Amino acid sequence: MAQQVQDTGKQLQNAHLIEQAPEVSASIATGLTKIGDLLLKAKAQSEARVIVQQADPTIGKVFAEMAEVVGANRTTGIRGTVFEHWEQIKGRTKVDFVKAVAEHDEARRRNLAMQYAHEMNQQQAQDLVLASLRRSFLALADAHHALANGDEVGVGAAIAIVSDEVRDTRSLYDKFKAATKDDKK
Amino acid sequence: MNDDLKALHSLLLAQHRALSDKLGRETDPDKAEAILTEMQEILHRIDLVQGLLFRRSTKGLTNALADVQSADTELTKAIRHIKDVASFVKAVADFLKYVDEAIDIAKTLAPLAP
Repeated sequence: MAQQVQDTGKQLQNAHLIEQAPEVSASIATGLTKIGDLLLKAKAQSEARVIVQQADPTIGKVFAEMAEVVGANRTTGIRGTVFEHWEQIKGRTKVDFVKAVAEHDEARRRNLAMQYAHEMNQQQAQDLVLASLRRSFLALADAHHALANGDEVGVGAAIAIVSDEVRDTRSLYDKFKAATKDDKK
Repeated sequence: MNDDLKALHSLLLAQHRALSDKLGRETDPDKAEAILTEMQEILHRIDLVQGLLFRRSTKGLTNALADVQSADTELTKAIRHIKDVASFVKAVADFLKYVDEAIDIAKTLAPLAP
């Protein structure tokens, strides 16, 4: 802004409309630059808010769709597919158990019962991870919506939910990974 | 998501779970093995449909799904009254015939617009 004042002064001087270009003191120039920066920042923020508001319905739809793909429960979406893969794995153990019973193999029966319990735990853990992922998508949609409405408290609350979910998911994933590693030993 | 394929996916998940429940109550090793094999067949279709969920729909697919739903009712009855392995395997094969027709149609459909 200070530069613009000086430039305009020079143009007026060159056009012989004034005798001397105006001088702007260093402190005023700094002040004007700061005001200019603040105006630019405010303009950028207001433009960003408009963009966030315009994008909000689409962003909300995308996150809702992603949450739907993951699945609201164990009978839908990726959660359903993953859960049934575990049912298949457990199914193999069930069949082997039935055979062990028919063959009166007590030791094998016991091992298979333990294996089945372990598989059931892994099935639950993986489903919890996916359920957490789904909640994160929905919380991100909420965070974006709160941002679009200028609701800082709402943004904070939604981001806190996402952070909690990420922490829980990481913890569950680590347990799941450790259990899988134990299986391979 | 394609609503017809989503419905097909849910239906396959439900049949797989029904067979898994049946397997849990089965004490005959041969019948248990047969149920597990048929579960694997259904699981393969679940994976296929999962990968096709974002395809456009057509009237052909909607009609094919109606056939699957009729076959689904028959399979539910068959699972409830498994008498012998052969008739059970036939019931699953009849059901999967209609499922495969629906999947073949879905494979030819364009992806949903972004």
